[in-house]
Amino acid sequence: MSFPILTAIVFVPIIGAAIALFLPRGVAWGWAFFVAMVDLVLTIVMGFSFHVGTGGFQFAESQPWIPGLGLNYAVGIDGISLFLAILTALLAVVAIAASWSNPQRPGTYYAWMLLLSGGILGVFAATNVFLFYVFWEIMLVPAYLLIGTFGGPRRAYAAIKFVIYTAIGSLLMLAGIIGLGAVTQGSHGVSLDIPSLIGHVPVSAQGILFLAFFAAFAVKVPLVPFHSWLPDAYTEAPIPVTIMLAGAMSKTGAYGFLRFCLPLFPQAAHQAAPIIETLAVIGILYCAVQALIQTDFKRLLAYSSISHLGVVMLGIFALNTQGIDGAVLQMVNHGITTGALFLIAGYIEARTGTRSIAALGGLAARVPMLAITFGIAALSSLGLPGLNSFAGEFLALLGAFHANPLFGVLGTLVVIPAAWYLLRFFQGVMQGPVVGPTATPTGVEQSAHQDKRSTVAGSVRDLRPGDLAILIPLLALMVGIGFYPAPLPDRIEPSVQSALSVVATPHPTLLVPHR
Amino acid sequence: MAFTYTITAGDWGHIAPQLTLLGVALLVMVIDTMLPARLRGGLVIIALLGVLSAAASALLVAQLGGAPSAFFGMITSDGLAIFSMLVILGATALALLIAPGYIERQGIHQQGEYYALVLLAATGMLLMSTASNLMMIFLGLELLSLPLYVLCAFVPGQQIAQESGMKYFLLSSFASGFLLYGMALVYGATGATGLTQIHAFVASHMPLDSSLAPLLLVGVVLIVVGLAFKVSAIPFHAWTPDVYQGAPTPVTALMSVGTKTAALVALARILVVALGPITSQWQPLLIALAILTMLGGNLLAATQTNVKRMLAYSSIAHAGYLLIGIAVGTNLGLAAMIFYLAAYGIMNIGAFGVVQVIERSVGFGTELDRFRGLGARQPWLAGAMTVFLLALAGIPGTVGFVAKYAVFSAAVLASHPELTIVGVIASMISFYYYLRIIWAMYFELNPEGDPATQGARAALGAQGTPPLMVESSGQSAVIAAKSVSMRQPIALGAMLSLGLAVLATIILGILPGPLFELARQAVGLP
Repeated sequence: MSFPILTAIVFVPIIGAAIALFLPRGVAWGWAFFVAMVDLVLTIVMGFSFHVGTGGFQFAESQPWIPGLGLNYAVGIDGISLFLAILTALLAVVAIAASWSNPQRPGTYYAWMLLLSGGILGVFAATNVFLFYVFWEIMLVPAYLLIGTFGGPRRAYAAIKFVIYTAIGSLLMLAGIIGLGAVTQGSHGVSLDIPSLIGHVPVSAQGILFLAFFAAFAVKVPLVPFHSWLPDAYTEAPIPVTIMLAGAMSKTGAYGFLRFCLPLFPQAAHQAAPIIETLAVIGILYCAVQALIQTDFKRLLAYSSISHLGVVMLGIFALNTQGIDGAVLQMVNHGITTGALFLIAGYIEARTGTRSIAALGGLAARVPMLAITFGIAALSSLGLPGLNSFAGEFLALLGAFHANPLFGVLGTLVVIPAAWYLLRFFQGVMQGPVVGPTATPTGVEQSAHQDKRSTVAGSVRDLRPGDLAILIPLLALMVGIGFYPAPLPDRIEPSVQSALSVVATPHPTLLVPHR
Repeated sequence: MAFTYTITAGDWGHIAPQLTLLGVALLVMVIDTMLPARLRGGLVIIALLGVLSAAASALLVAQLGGAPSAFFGMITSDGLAIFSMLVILGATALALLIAPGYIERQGIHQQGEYYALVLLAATGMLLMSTASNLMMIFLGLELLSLPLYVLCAFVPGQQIAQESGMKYFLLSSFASGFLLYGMALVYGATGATGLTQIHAFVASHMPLDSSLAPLLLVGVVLIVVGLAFKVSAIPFHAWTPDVYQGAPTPVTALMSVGTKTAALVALARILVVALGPITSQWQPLLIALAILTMLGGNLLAATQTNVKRMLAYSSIAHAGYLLIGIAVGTNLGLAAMIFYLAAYGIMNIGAFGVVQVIERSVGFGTELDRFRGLGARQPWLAGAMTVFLLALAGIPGTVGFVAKYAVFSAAVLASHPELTIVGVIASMISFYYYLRIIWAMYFELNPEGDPATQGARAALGAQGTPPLMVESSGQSAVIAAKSVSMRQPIALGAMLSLGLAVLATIILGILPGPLFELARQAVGLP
């Protein structure tokens, strides 16, 4: 048996987390960064040894786990999950690097951070429904603790809201998983490995099981109206945690739809598609409008994130190759772009001590580097051709248009408010007259009097080399994928094809019976 | 009529675990009188060794095999008996380990009696879970109850402790009456008290005719009522919160696990094994009990502000999940139930173990307020509590999740999805209150950083042991703020016990396979 690289990718951060708990203050950051880097290198190695052109699971491993219940430990990766795994590992490095100055209880903080990234990676790697659920819930705990312990003033409220929304969804999924095991059990007993389930779920049971899984995924994506936990959670969480939540964890919901709801319950998916597309379109437009009226720029980004994920959902439930290709591409690119935007928002907040757009202005002249990077990320987010998000969004919307022109057209409308709110954010903060507090709140030793002087002098610090080093990989990916996106679809498409081959085959019961 | 009564050495061998515990209990009492007061703390070591050797002899009985029953079918040593004995002994060992520091703080001087009574209660639990005759089940029940009445009221000079003991005694005697009456009716209907004979009789008289059915069924209902009381299933739960709160916490921990295990195993033997042929008759009763208990327990727990009381209600809720295992009436259900019992034993004793470290005087000082900022003050203690609470909530990665999954999937596989659905809804409610404690420990302001608290702390000075009793709720905030700033010392035994429980919760959560196999084998599944 070859080196179990997927198991290593999932468990390196989890074991690293356990060790981080015991580390003293001084070395915790270094250790966490090292572990995350090792994990990133492993995922990149996996990416390079991935065979292009096949749709099935690669690097698959399978072990009996709880034989008495028919449960296996089974992991594998295909084109759909490959880039999401790499993205997660990358964002873990970025998030940990960005939290190097986090003051209190670093051991605990980094342990939870690593556990979070391990959980997300496990979600992407699992090919057994039960194992998937295990990682799905493992992901929840550190996210809850990170928001609640290290978050802003309303952290406890945000954390409990987050956990109750997601836990209700997950528990319904658990009931669904148990039911799935029961309706598909054959003479050999229960098996919850995905490949052995495809095509074996009776049509009569698909509707209710689809709903159970839908509950968990719709909350996680989130689809409007299940979204109200998200702005609170993203806003109250510390920036590095928000990067993990918005960049990596938010993809698990859409991924779940793609991995489970489509191939396992194809008939139900066909029937539910118009409803979900409607919800997606409502979410896209509603959240874009919400983003327009936010005064807090972190909240603006949170709403923008939901809006963009609506495009992903629209692509997935177009149920055609273009749509899903675009959706997967958009998931990866959204992760990169959102990660960068939240990181920049964090830099601005750390330098000015405020998240209010109205309280800021004219920063660009004093922090040119920050302004340039912000500009690139903002343009990427609104889907400028030549940057990463364009291809995915375009494909997803094209797919949606082919499936149903109305949804395609309505979904495309997102471009207008997206440009509007991002430019409003950019202009409000970077351009125009100099206003508002500009003192560095981290330098608390400054007296109030000096604060006032520094406002006049405008001594907001620009990006330090360290800050820039964290941002550069994300910016490079934006430009790189923008100019040469081909390696992604090459690997994504075969897997999408094989997923769709199940969905696209109309089930006999859906056809008009022969006379 | 001639009655020859011969007992072989093999018969005695079958009850070796019970005999060991009984012997050690007596030994502890004798040694107690000879030791000077300052050495009496060492008695816990003897008690622990006794529990370990009882566990070893249980394993030996399992290894040697031989006839599955002894004393003319009074006692059995089948897989179910061995497994539940090990659960009870494990729980007893953990409960003994957390005891020493606690009983010293509560001013309990009769240590010998304490340990002897714990061992006697455990003996009763073992007897009850190995009994295969209605009379032996009753005997075991009484043997476990009598020491517990005393233990519940063990903390001297505390009203709440006396209330606890008295309440348990009165209500429990009442329930015993029900049980005994039910057994009498079943005996009247079937002419036997042995479970195998009852099974044979019922199986040969199917379908039940009208002369037999009322007697037998009323008997079964009364037996279920009597045992449901011990399991603390709703609506027979009313005693649980008061008794659990007023009893010394290590006793609460033992009671919540050991008594439940013994009573559930006895219930399973009576219903699933002996009365298997009339499953359809008793099943609706059990399903109703399980549903009521799951929902009611969790809803009531969600309204509590005292953590010890909250855990009492939570243990009611878990009784509901456990009852699913019996209600579905399959062997897989039983396997899931005893696995759940093992898991529940570990995580629940762990949670009570943390509570006893925080607790100032019996039943008090475990308000949610006192958990505020524990994450910053005592990260290891808070971390352990977090693990136990997540396990009780059923989060994957802990043994509690696997147990819940096993029970729920047994229900679905036995075509009772309604039990799973109610269980899932109940679990959603439980998330709220378990996470509420974690919230208090990590998210709320650390009182040490609070200037007001620091003032109070300075006023207390170096000598300051804070006032113990917190009676009125008006005072409680002030006093809690004063005392909460102290780090609670953790005794060595408690530390060991908590550490073992944390490790077991996580390791069995990640690799539950072998234990689940044992549970399956214990109920005779291939």
